[in-house]
This record gives sequence, structure tokens and C-alpha cells, in this order.
Amino acid sequence: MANLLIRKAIFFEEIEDDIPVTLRVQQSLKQTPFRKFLTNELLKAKKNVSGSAAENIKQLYLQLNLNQYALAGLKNRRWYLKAQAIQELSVMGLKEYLTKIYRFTNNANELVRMEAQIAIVNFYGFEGLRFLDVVSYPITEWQQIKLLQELLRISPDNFKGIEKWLKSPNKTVVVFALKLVRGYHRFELHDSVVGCLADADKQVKLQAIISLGEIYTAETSRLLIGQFLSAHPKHQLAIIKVLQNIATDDDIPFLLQQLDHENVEIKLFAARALANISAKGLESLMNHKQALQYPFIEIIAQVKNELAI
Amino acid sequence: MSWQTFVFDFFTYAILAYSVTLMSCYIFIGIYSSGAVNNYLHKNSFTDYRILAGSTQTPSMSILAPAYNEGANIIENVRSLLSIYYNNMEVIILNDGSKDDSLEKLIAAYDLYKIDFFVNQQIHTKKVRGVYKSRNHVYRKLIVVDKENGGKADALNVGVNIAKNDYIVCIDVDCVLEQDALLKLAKPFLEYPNHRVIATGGVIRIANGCEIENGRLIKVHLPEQFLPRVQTLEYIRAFLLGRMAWSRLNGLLLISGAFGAFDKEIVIKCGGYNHKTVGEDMELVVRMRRYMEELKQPYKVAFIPDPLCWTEAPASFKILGRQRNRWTRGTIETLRFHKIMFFNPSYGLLGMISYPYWFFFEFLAPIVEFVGMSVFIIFGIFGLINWSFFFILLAFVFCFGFLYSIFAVLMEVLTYHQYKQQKDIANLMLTAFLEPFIFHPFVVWSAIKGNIDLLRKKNAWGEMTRQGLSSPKKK
Repeated sequence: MANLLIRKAIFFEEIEDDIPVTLRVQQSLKQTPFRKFLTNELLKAKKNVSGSAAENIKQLYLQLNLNQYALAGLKNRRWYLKAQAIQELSVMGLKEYLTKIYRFTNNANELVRMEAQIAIVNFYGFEGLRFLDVVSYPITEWQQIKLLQELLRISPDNFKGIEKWLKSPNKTVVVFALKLVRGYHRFELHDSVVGCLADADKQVKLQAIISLGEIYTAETSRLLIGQFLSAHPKHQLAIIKVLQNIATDDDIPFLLQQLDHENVEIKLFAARALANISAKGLESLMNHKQALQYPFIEIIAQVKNELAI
Repeated sequence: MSWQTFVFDFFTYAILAYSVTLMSCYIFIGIYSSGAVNNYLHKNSFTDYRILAGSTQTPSMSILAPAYNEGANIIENVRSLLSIYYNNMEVIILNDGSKDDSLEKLIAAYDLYKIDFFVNQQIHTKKVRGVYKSRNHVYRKLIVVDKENGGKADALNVGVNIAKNDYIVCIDVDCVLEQDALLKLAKPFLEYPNHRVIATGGVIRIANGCEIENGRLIKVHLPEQFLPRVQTLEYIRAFLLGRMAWSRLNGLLLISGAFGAFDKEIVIKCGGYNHKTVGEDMELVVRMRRYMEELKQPYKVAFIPDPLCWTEAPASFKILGRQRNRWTRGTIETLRFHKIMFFNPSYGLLGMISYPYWFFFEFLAPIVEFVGMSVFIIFGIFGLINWSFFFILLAFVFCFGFLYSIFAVLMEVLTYHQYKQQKDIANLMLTAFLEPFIFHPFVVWSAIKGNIDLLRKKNAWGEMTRQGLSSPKKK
């Protein structure tokens, strides 16, 4: 019954008329299980179609007053019903409920908050990210992946706000902003990202290093090398990994010095970076005083093998 | 009061107190786990794993699969691992000095060649003879390591040294994984901004009797043989109830060696798998937790109730006995290595609840049961038993155990419903009825033998002959 109705709606062509709904369907709507089933099927259909077919699905959803149940769900005490209602209104693209949904973007419940944030981005694209200005709860890595995925569908058009988010007191917002910087190659924010290197939060610092690897200038490697000595071992490794892609012949002495680092992993990545810079880098690696001794003999063999692939 | 009465009363009340506490724990676990599963399912209804599958931001994973004399099925098993949906991963097969032709078969099937590879010995292991990669780009995620034989723990440590990714997923090479197993296992690592998730485990299910083709699970069937079937019930109870409850409490001590993901950095800092125990999987989790507790850093060991990994259960009493004997020794060894945590408040919940629970109700339970049964027989001989009261108590204990199993089956039906035929559910119920008479006494006896073997310093792994899962069952 539900599938037939949805099929009818998808292929419905009369613009001004209501989609014909049988009396049986109208009566069945009073039963919660059927209503839930039909709503789920409508949501699935809406996600999988576009254009006039998607509009028809939305029309049917409104015609059956299913939005009223979703609005009631927004007031429900159970978090999953609230989150479900937000998701429903979002998928159906009912922007008129923006104000109601927006207030949930900083809700204490993680799932409610996540669905509201996704809904706002779904409605308003990059502009919808303005919730980042005020959100006080952490944005989990999972939520960041979801938001980035949602944003992929939208043209970026040099969106604004990142600079402010890079200074947010909420460290997860800063991390997310750094991912936006590198994902959308916002070279003009290079100096703001460099500012994040001074942040006490380890994750912020790590993401700043990785982001600088994507928006580097002629100065970046020098700046990162300047940070190296005082950095946490994890950040030191991240710096060496970034240098693998951005270092120049000028950085060869620093990298050669790191071959004597106590951390074997740093030795390996420094060797890899040297091999990747230029023929001169590879030559200086092979001429290293311990090139024929363990572990360098194996490290150099591996690095040369990688270059050959 | 005569000394006989004193002894009688002492044993009676001690065992009564122990049983009441144990049953209370089971009731708590049942209720608490149902909340955890319910919460997970609600949360999961908002999860679209396709987002993770397509994202470049997923945690990088290295699957470590030790193999010893697995030549018969190794090609198929590796193919199954390579077909898992996950972008950011590598599959490392660790040939632990197999005496058969496993390596030759792998070289031929996947067009492997030996590469120059620097093995960073962050954890000391036996010698690596060679690292192989495929010339075929299709198998670019595959790395095969040939090493001297050193046991499962040593092979896994080699894998940790070689893995280039942030997380390691340790599996038994002959397990069958669900295609989205890694996506589900990866998600908990992304969900806790204020805690470091150091390990994640998923539910292991019994694959005996299931239809498996080319290393993929095609259709789930309840095993026809009694022993695998009773283990099916046991696994449902242990994973869906026990581990979910412990995970919700953040007190989980065991992630099965058959399938679990770990934070590589913490594994290395803890020194990797301990090859001095036969319970290396539990020992690693306990050591990682202990390390985090000592660092005073917030952490979590997560567990998800989705059935992600299917494994072959022992189908004979001989093999089952060896397995349970080993599990017992592994538990005792782990508890002994970390005895400092026993009721030690500096280890928080780990020291005050998880460790004591395992001590009293996992390690001591079979001993208490065995001693109780022996004392009961002696009391019976001396005519000290009130038989009418005994039968009432026996019926109560039996009904409790039976209902607990039925509750686990109900949870399975209401959540994942893997066994769809009504006769399968009826069969599981019948199995739950028979379990206390056949399976349970045998498991207790195997645990007692494990205790004795440990006292005699026998530390053999015990050969685990498997029948193989590759032949599909047609109905």
C-alpha cells in the first residue's frame, strides 16, 4: 500500500492538484506502525530521487500532515524521537522550521545536536555552519566526517567564518576549521593556521601541522622546522611527514640532522623526505656516514625501493 | 555446636552467599546490557556507514592476521580479508614459520615478490625472514610477512612493528568477517572527544553450519551438532549481555583475540602482546587499561553488539576441552600478572569492580562449583542433606540459568535476529534446557584441568584442529 502510493507520487504530473490518496491509506495513517513505515519509505524515496519526483514526495509528506507528527516529535522527551523528527524535516527540506531546529544545534544530547547541525548545513550549505560560532559542546570526529560529507554536495563559493572558528574556545571547532582550511585549500589563512601551532591543545597543533602541508608557502618548512625541537614526539613525526612533501634543498641539512634522532620512526621519515626532495637529497642520504650500517642500510634500501615503484 | 554442624553451616552459607552475589550480578548484567544495546540500536539508526566508507578522514587501519599451517584455506581467507569495505587499510598476513606450503601458495596466488623493508623493532620479536608485496595493483593493500615461528603473540607483535596505520585490527585468519565489519569497528574511535578509545571489540558468532562461499557468509544457520549449538547460545549470552554491560560500565577486560581493534601507539607503549601467556588477548587489554589508569588519562574500551565476525567453534569434546583449559590458564595468568590492581582504588573501576569480578566469578566460579559439588556428595553420603529443600533449590538455580539463557535469546531475536526460522529459536531453547546437564559440567571440568595444568606449569597452547568453513551447506 505504502510503496504503491509512493510510486504514484513519484510519477504524479498534475502540478496544482493533490496526489490522490485512498481512504484506506488515510485510515491506516491513524495507526502508528503504518505511519512510521510510510514515513520511513518516504524518507528513503526522497533521498534517492531528485527534481520533480523529490518535490512530489515532499508534497505527499505535507499532504498527509506527517510534518505535524515530526513537529510533535521535536517536543518529545526521548532523544531519539527528537533526533528522528529533525532528520525527517531536514530530509524533506522543510526550511520553514529552521528556527525550531536551529535551537537544537547546541543541545545537550549528542545525537539531537548532530542531527540539528546536519539539518542546518543541509538547508543553508556553508552558511549553515554559523552554528560553529556558538556551539559549546564538542564536535566529534564522526560528526566532523558527516559535516564534511554533507558539504561536499555544495559549491564552497569562498565561504566566510573560518578565521573566527580558528580562534574558537571550543577546541573541536578549531580542529574542524583546520580540516576545512586544508579541504578547501584556503591559502589566505596560512598565517592564522600558523597561529594555531602555538595552541596548547595537542590535537589542534597536530591538525595545524597537517593543514600547513596543504596550504604551504615558501616560508612554511622554515616555520615548521622552527617548531620541531620543542614539539611533542607525535608532532615532530607529523612535521617530518609534512616536510616529505614540501621541503626543498635548503632543508637538507635539517633532515640529515634528524637521521641521528633517537626515534627510529623519525629517522625513517627523514630519510624518506630526503629521498623525495631531489636527486641531491637522495645523494646526501646515501652519503650519510652510517649509510652502510644498520638501520640505515635497510632504511635506504626501503626508501629506494619506494622511489622505484 | 558440633564441628560437623559448623563445617556444614560454613559451606552452606558461604556457597549460598556466593551464589546470591553471582545471581545478582547476572540480573544486573541482563538489565544493564539491555539498556546498552537499546541505546546503541537507537544511535545506530542515525548512522549511515556509507559516509565512512567514502570518507578520506577515516582512521587508518592495519589488519593483522597470523597464520600457522593454514595452507588449506589461506588463499580464500586472504581474499575474504581483501574484500572488506574500508578505504584506509592494509592487510598484513603473518606467516608464523608455517611448516606447510602457505607462503608458496600466497606467492603464487597473489603474484608476490620480496621487497626491501625496514622493520622497526619497537617490540622485540623473532626474526623476520622477508616482507612480500604484490606486483598486481589490485592487491596493493596486501603485505605478507614471513617470520620464524614464535607463536600467535609474537606474530602479532611483528605485525604491530610493520603496520603503518594508526590502528591495528587483530583477527584469526580463518574467521569470516562481515563486509562492513571494519566500518562499524572504526566508528567508536571517532565518537569520544574527551576519552581516548584504546580498543574496540565486536560480537563473535559461531559459523558452524552456516553457508560460506569464497570466504563470505552467505546464509546463517543454527549449527546442527549439539556442541557448536550450545556454544552459539553461550556466545550470544556472553557478547550480547556480558560484554555490552561491561562496556557500558567502561569496565570491559576482554576483547576476543578473534577480532578486535587497538590503538597502535598504546599497544607499542605497553610493549605489545605478551608471549608468556596463553591468554594474550585478555592480557593486552588489561595491560593497556592499567597503563591508561597509571597515566590518569581518560580512556574507553568500546564494544559494539553487531555480529561482525564468524568463527568455527570446536565440535568435539576433545578440542573444546583444550580450548577451555587454555582460556582458564590465560585468565589466571592475566590476573596473576596484574594482581596489584586487586581492590586497589588507584585503578578506579578497573581495580575495584572489573578485576575482582573476574577473580571471583570467572576464575573462582568453576573451583567453587567443583568444591561445592564434592562437598555436596560428602554431605549426601553422611546423610546431612535436606533433600526436599535441595530439590527446591536445584529447581530454582536451574530455572534461573534457563531463564537467563532465554533472556539472551530474546535479546538476539529483538535486535539482530540472525536465526530467522522458528525451529531455530525452539532449538536454542531446548539447548538452553540441556546445557546445565551436558555442556556446563564439561566446561567446569575443563577449567579445573586448566588450573591443575597451570600448577604443573604446563603452558602448551593445545592443538586446535578445525574442520574448515569453506564447504557450503546446501539445504
